[in-house]
Amino acid sequence: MNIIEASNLEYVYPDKTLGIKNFSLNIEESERVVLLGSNGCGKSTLLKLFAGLIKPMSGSIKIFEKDVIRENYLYFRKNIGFLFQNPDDFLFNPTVEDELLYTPMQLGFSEVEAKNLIAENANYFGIEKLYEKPPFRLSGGEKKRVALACVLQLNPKLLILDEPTSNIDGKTRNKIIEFLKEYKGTMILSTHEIDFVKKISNKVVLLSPDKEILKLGGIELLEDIEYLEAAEIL
Amino acid sequence: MKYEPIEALLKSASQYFEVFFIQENIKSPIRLVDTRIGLIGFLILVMLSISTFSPNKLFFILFNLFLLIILSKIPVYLYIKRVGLMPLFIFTIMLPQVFLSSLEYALLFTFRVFLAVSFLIVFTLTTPFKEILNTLRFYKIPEILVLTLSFTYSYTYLVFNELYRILVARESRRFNNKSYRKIWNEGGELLGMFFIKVYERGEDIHLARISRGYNHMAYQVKFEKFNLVPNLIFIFYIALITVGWVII
Ligand SMILES: Nc1ncnc2c1ncn2[C@@H]1O[C@H](COP(=O)(O)OP(=O)(O)OP(=O)(O)O)[C@@H](O)[C@H]1O
Ligand SMILES: [Mg+2]
Repeated sequence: MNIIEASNLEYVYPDKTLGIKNFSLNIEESERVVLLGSNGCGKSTLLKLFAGLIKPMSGSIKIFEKDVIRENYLYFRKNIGFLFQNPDDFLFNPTVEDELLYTPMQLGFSEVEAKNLIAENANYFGIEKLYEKPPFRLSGGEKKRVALACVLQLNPKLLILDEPTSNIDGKTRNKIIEFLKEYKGTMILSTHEIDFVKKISNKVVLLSPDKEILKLGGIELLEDIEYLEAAEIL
Repeated sequence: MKYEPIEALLKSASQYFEVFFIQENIKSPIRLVDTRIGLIGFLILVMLSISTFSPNKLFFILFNLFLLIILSKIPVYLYIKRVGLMPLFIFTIMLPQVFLSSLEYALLFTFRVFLAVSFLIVFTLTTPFKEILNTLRFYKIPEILVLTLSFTYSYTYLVFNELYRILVARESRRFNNKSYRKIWNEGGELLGMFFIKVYERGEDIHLARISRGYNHMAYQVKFEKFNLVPNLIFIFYIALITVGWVII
C-alpha cells in the first residue's frame, strides 16, 4: 500500500512566502524516509502536508490512499503520530500528565486504560517524575521528551517527526534511535544530523534551498559530497 | 535605563497571569465534595457577597471566607498569591466613585468584589478544571460556552507566556540608552509583534491539537465517587452561612 502519494505539491503561506513547490513522491508501507535540507527549505511544511494538517494550494496528496477531507480526519488522527518541531506549540495542557492523557482521552479511552497506557511510555522516557509539572516549566530537552512520549505512546502506523533529536542529550537520543529501530510502521522525519540518518533510515529526500526536490535515493546519497553541498547541508 | 520599570512591571504581571489558572494540586477536603454541589455552593457564596452593601453582612462573609480557607487546607500564601493586587486594582477602577458618590461606597464595592473573586479562587484552587467543565456540561450549559471557557483557559496561559518571552528576549538583546522617541516606537513594535505572535502561535497550537486527535465530542461526563457525609457537611455549612447572612 502507498502510505503517501504526492504529486506536484505546492504550498504558499498566507503572507505569500513559498513553502514548497513541485513536490512529487510516493512513500510505501514501512519505508523510513528522511528529509534533508537547509534551514527554510520546506521540511516542516512538507511534514504538515503529509500529516493532513494543511492542504496544498495545488497538486494532489493522498494519505493511506485516502483524500484529505473531513470524513477521513479521525482515521488520520488515529493512525498518524506527528511531532512538531517546536515543543512549545505541541504542549498546551496544564500538566505533563494531562499532556500524556490528552490523545488517548480524545480517542475515547477510559481514564484507567489511558493511565495504564501512559505509565509504560513515561517510564521509557524517564518523565514520570515530571507528571505534576506544567509543561512550560520544563527544560527544552524535557519538553521534547514529553512531546515524544505523547506521540509514540499510541504506536501509530505512520510516524512523522520534525527534528526529533534537536535539543536532546545523548542518552535520550540513543533511546530514540533504539525505539525507531524497533518501530515497524512507516516513518518520515526531518533532521540536520547525518549520522543519525544513517542509523535509522533507508530512503533520503534531499531538498534544495529553492524548496524543490534536489535528489531522491538511498542512504548512499549521504556520501555524495556534491549533492550535499548543493543542498547546502555541508 | 529609562524604560526598565515599566517593562519589569509588565514582566511580573505576565508571569502572574500566566499561572493564574494553573492547578496546583492541593489535597483539600473540598475535593471530597461533589463538584456539582460544590459549584452551586460557591455560586451561592458569590451571590451573597455581591448582593449586599451592609458592612456587617460583608464582614460576616469575610469571616466565613477565612474559615473556609483554613478548613479546606489551602496554603494561605497560595491564596494570597492568586488574589495578588486585585483589591487595589478594583479600587483604582472605583476611584472616580469616591468623588461621584462617597469613599464608603467605593470601599464597600471593592470589598464585595474582593469577596466574590476570593470564593472563585478557592473553588478553582481546589477543583480540577476538567471537572468544572464537566459540571457545566452536566448542568446543560451550551457546549459552545463550555468550549469557549476551556479555550480561554489554555489561551490565557498562551497569551501571557508569549508576552513574557518577548520581554525576556528583548531584554537579553538590549544595549542601552536610547531616546524616549525610540523607546516609544519600540513599544509600539513590541505590541504589534505581540499580537501577531499570539495569533499565529494560536494557529500553530490549533494544528497541534488537531494532530493529536482533538475531538470535542470526546469528553465524557464522569464524576468521582459520591461521598454522602462530606457533601452533607458542605450543604449544611452553606445553609448556615445563608441563614446567618439573612439574620445579621
Ligand atoms: N507560518 C509561516 N508563515 C509564513 N512563512 C512561513 C511560515 N512557516 C514557514 N514559512 C516559510 O516557508 C519556508 C519553509 O519553511 P519550513 O518551516 O518548512 O522550513 P524547514 O525546512 O522546516 O526549516 P528548518 O530546518 O529551519 O526547520 C521558509 O521560507 C519559511 O520562511
Ligand atoms: Mg522545520
